[in-house]
Amino acid sequence: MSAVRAFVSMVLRHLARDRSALFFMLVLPVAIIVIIGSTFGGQTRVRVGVVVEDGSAAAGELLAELRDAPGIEVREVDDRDELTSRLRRFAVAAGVIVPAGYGDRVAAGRTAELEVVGDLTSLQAVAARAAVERSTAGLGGRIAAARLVAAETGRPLEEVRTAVERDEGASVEVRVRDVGEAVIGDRSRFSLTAPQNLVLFVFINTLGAGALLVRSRQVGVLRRVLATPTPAWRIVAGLGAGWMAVALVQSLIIVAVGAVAFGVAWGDPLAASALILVFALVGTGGGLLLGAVGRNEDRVGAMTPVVGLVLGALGGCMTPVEVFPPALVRVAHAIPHYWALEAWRTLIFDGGGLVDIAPSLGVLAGVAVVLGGSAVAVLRRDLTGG
Amino acid sequence: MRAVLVIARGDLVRRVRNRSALITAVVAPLALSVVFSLVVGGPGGSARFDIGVVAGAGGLSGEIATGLLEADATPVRFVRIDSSTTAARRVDDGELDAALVIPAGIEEAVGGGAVTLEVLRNPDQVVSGGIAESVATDIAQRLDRVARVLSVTGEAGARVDGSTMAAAMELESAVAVVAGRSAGRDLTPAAFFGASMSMLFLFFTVGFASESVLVERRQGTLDRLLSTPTSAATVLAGKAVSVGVLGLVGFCVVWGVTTLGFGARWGRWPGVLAVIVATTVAVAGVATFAASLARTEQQTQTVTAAVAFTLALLGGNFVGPGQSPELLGTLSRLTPNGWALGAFADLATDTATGAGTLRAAAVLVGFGVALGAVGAARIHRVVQR
Repeated sequence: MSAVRAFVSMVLRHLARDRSALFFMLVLPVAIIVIIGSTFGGQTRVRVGVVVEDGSAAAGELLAELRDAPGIEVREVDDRDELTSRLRRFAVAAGVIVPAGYGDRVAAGRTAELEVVGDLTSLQAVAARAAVERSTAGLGGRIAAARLVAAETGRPLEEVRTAVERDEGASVEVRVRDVGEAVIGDRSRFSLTAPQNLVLFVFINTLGAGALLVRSRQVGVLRRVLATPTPAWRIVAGLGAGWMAVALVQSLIIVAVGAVAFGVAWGDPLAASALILVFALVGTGGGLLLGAVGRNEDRVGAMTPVVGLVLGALGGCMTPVEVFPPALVRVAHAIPHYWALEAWRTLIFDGGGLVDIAPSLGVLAGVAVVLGGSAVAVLRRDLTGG
Repeated sequence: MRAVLVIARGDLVRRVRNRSALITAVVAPLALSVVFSLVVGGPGGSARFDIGVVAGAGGLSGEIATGLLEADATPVRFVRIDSSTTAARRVDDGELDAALVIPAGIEEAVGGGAVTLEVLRNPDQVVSGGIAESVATDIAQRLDRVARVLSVTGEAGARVDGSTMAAAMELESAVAVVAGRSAGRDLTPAAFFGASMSMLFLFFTVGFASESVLVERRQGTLDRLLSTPTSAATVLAGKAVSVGVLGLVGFCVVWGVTTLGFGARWGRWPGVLAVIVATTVAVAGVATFAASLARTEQQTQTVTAAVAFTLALLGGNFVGPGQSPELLGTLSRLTPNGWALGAFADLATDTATGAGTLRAAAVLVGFGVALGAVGAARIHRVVQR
């Protein structure tokens, strides 16, 4: 037991000296939760720049329709160049151009086209385009309806348009209902991003155990310890316990900041604690295995954030798995981050408990055992094999 | 000049032998840009969404459901579900991405009755929920058109029959939304993240220079070097050239691999090359200044990481263009990251002008020269101490 304690204190001393690790542990996750959360989580209205190149009354009617559209905030822009410049300055998320001749096409009974510009990799631009489509489909539908009535009845189109606009239309409400058993009424908009960043950063930091292990092997500390009656598994357990302690502290800080500053309800405390513990084990196991197979401290140190970020991205920590292509969804199932996020969703959005996340916990525990066991096996062979 | 190149070559050979520099300069940005572009819709095909449809057996509700089920609406696939309870359970279990409940007797809406279309979504699946809501809104708008057509036609005393109703239901909007040409072509994710991640890791590549000055001082090799006719400025220049070459090569490898292997379109090559060089100068300057604030190797790494990630967060390296909140969008123009990513985005979308690219490159070089000069002067003092 004293060997484990000695390794724990070694890890803590190492970290106290390494302020970059502390930066990654504490400052960066919180900063990213805030920025990503405010980006994806909550802006209710997306800014859309509108260029009207057509002076017709129909174009004015369209602009009024867009101004009333839910989900977007219209900023009128002088010309296409200014729109491009605003898009590039991120002052608007998407742009709409009402081209010259719009009014003529409407009057001629043809389909009038609007141009929507914006970057398709941007969720806000996609949301803006959907809102613009919904709004213009309403107006375009009424114009089409008037054309049909005019054709059927022989009445003048202008007169029918006025009648169609004045008509109450159908009373159809679209109601969105969240499924699941969560009791939380207004979920924090950080509820999606906070667990993603918790999982991402805890894993990256626990992988840091790798570089320390390589250094300990290089300077011969482990071989000397192994010359004492301490078995290999206890050395690994000691190093792992140190990093586990750090991972748990980091998790608690992110959970506390998420709850207090951003109103994230993390769900059932017992289940959440079990999840934090098991995922810290997975990260530590990964770090130890990296440290057991690595040959050079610098290389392992350089690889650690790359491995952590790549696995995080594939496991759904940066972009939700729901927008992954199907092949990548299958890849995601092989990544521990995916299972941890599934469990967090069950706790946060479904109000689930220990039993509900048992499958995820089982997968994560299995991964931790495989990684940790492999690390012990490799280390034993390396240290005792000569 | 020869001494600078000799020092640069020696430094470069050492770094390449210790493969960690190659990981930072080439492997890391390449791996991350490829993975990021894959998860936001790369060559593996786009995401697929399974939306459940619950509808009454007959009548208009059944017809609408059949229409949805038979439509080829890739990437959305509609699945018929028996009841809203089953649909809610399957959405909750993740078997369906979202569901839409079309009540029986929906035609009452056309005759003045109130009808509710319900969208069932998982609160953590905002994209799928949005798709189902769009489908529901489309149905609501079609019913609205039918109601108006029937009402106004009826007012005029004209005969309203099933064919009028069917024609009204099938009406397409007279206003269509098309992808515009103003902002050029779409930015490919591989191009954006290739530039973004290369830039992020450039900070660490360049940070090696200042770190190695401190390492050489600790090991005593710096004193030995300075006891020869080599000046401190030559040593610094040599190290700067070595990391500059490494950073540039890394950036260009990412450019080449994402272009040839992943279909990224970075834009016209002279502009891209100019912005890559200007970005390398800017990052070299910022990283040199940041490293000059540190006194130990450990501090160099800490300060470099803090500055790199702070600028990346403010500059929009992680969230992609057009997604930043307004304040962040403004702040990004105060960072070299914002200028570089803006210039890369303009080039990649074919909206760049020669003058605009030159201006961005000049601003970037300005950042680099101003901060680099201050940083180099500080490190020069350390070297001579």
